[in-house]
Amino acid sequence: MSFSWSLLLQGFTQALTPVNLLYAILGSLVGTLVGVLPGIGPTSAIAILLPLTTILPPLPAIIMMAAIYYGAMYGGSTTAIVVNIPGEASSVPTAMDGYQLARQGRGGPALGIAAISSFVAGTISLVGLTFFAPLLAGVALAFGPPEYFALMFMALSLVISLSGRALLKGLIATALGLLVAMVGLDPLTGEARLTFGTVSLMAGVNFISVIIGLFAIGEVLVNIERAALSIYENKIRDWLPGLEDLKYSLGAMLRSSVIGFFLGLLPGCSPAVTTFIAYDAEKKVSKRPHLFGRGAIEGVAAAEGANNATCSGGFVPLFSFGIPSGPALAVLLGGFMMYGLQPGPMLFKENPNLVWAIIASMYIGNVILLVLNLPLVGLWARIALIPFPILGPLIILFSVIGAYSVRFLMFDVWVALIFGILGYLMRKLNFPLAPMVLATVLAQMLETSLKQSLVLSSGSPLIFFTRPIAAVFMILALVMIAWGLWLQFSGRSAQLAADESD
Amino acid sequence: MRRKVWRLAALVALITVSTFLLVTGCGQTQPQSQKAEDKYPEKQITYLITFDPGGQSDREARRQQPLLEKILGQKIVIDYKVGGGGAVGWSELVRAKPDGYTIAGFNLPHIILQPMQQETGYKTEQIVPVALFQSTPLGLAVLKDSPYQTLEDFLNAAKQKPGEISIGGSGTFSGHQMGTLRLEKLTGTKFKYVPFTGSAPQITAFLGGHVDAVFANSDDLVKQQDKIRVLAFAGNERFEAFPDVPTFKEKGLDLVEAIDRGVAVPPGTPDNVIKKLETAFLQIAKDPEIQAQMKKEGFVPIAMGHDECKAYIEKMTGIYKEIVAGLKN
Amino acid sequence: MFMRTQRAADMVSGAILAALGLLSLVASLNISGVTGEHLHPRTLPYLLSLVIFITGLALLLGGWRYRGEEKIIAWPDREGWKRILISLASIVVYLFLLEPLGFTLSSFLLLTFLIWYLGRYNLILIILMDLATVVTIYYLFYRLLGLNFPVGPLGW
Repeated sequence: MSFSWSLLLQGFTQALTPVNLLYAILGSLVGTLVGVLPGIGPTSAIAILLPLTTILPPLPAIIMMAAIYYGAMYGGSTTAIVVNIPGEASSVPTAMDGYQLARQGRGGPALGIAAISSFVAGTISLVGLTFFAPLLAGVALAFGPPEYFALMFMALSLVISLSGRALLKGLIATALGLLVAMVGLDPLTGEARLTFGTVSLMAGVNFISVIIGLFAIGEVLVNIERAALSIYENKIRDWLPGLEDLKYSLGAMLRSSVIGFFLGLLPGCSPAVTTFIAYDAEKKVSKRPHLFGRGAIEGVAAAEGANNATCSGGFVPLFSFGIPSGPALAVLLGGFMMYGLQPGPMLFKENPNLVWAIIASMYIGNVILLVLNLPLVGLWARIALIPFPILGPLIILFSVIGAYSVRFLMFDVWVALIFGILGYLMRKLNFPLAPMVLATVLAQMLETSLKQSLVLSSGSPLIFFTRPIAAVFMILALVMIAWGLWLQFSGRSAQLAADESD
Repeated sequence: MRRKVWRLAALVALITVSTFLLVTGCGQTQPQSQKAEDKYPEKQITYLITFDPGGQSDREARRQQPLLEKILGQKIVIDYKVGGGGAVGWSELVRAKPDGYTIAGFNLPHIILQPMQQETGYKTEQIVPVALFQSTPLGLAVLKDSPYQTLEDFLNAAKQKPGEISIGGSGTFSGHQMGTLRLEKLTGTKFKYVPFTGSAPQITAFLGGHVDAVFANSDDLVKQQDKIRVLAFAGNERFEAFPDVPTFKEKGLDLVEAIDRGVAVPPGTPDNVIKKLETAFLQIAKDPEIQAQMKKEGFVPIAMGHDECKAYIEKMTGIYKEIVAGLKN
Repeated sequence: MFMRTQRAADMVSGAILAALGLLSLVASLNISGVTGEHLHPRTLPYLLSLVIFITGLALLLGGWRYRGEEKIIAWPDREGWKRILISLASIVVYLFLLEPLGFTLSSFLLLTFLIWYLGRYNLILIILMDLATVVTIYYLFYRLLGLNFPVGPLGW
């Protein structure tokens, strides 16, 4: 896909026709609306909304699909901030600071910063996509199984370090998450594992159910317990971010755009990994790291920026090789193919106008989302004002829809309920939730890449240290683990059991 | 300002909702009655897909859906039961009422190999095939800049350094691994078989040069044709999109390996119901327009009826049994 | 009371985790596999079970040896437990009814009961609101988007 101004301009003229513009707006709108339903995340939202587009001709349909994708991603982070229910694993870091801000009455600024950061990062990475896609396509391929294993390993060690002094409980949550994800058929060998002979368990535990359970249902249970009349008592203080918020967030937006975009290029790298890495990086460079987890606006900016940049980055391998980099993009790819369009190098040769119109429409979609969502911030922030006795049951209902619509199995809904109860207990017993979520998301990639690497090296683990990219990640991971252990044992060992609640 | 935007949004939503309601609201289901199977079909048929929405099986079913509705005169509802590499959906199928109102897409060699490996909730014989309509022959391919120009080069190199050349495939206990194992057996070579979780990661690793070669589905090879060189296809005849690439058979190796898609019903379904479905599916499979679309996407359109499918499944079961027995030792 | 302090809770949850680790340790030993050349399908589940067993024990021991200040866990009071259990029970009943009654009807029942139970609003208002909600969901998701929810005996 070589770049040319005339093709891009042509793309814009096509994308800006009233009809195509209307579908872009419509897609962003319904994507946001469905994504904003707590319990329905981006993946479910896209799967639910895809049939909407099948009655349209190809270009408007794909423009609308891409807009739905963006919109749903945005909607998923809205619920993360307002009601502490991330729609997708990648929004978990958003919830960590966003919800705290919302509780302090600053939900409006958090949502505003999320919108602005999404826009900035989305646009920056679109520029990357537009001008450098052929160059960058190579990056997507540089990662083989050993590199992926090292990256996933680093992401996991990072999340353990994020659990601070609660290292032991973070470790337990991680191990539990990994183990749970292994229930079902081995993704490579098809061997049934930990299924106790039942066919239902062969379906395996879907991580979307885990997220819905731990966050949506768990959160509802906490509120039911205290007979809450609303989710938080504080009055809403500000509606939009102020200059100071922007000042704190600007650096985070730019840094997370870069991190998100480059990691987004890797087809095997889940957006959850990028947002966690960007969030952690921001915490490390921040002048006020103590605020992270307690309502740091730049934490929201970093997570949301990385999330959106990853989305755009993911289009590079999709357009260049026809390779989707996540469940949501896979659904999107299916949508392309329903029109007989085969993303990949051939599409650029056969149908350059179409591709450039889609790329142009993504720029426009980013603007639409910003224009659409900044005014809607007030409305979203008001979701929290719905009396809890009404909101709670509705969240349960949407969670059921969200869990069911991924694979259409009642089993997934039961799994969500069980993880809801587990999530409630983990909150009470001071176990961190984030490591468990990330572990369930990463388990499959971690195991398969390990297995593939070992086949390639005929069983020698040295392969992770002889290949340069892998070695860098492994060393970073080991440093982080050592750092975590040092933090743990440099203090009094009594803290081990006690000091989790900080 | 805010109110205006909101009002506009509401208006847009209202218009679309009412339009779609008009479009979709008309098709209602007929009331059901309990008559003999001769009158089949007299209510909507559920077409179960055991893989993700948007995947190949789903897209094929959606392509057939309007034509099926026209031929059978009933609504076809596509339903999903995803999980366990298809096993969850197929065990659902064999427990469904055998009245022809629940049919499911099935894949070869999946339904042969899965029950061979372990208890899966269904047995191969319980999947009663109606028709097979699509075949995806596997091809052995290397990158354009690879030193191996021909199949002979490749096999010679493998003989010189046994167990060092890596072949990527999708999953173990799958058609891709069986293809590799059969090739090893036929030529007395040994490869490093690297399994991936699906065709996307497999092709990514292949294009990045992390494996030396792949056994890949024909549609993936067609997609990447400008970057790769196909050494041989495991089909009965040459593959249309690559007219210059020989088959293994031409090279004297009896290796035919493909992923085939079809549709099946639960055991005990009355014969004339199967017949009706078979006729409908074969009519679609033989439709030149459908065939042209499939070819363009890199598939081989086939049209195998009930009896032919059964014989074919039995034959493949025999072949795989032997290979698997060798594996377990 | 049971698991009143963080220390007690750590000990109990540690013990439970250790038991769980042991259980899955045994279960993962039963994983067969003919093709795991360099990483057997059972290896990782086995190792993870071991990690959970050991960390569970560590949690138990850590709690046992802990001599610091007592931290009280904010468990719900009697009323709180009652609310949680009744809500959970209604959700379980809802999930069981989902397939036989269909999504629309069972959701209506859940919403009506749970909103009434948690909020004690006027029942007629609740019913009207729930009716509007489920009808909207039915039309939007089921009819418009063709989502395959379980349907009840009457086709909705």
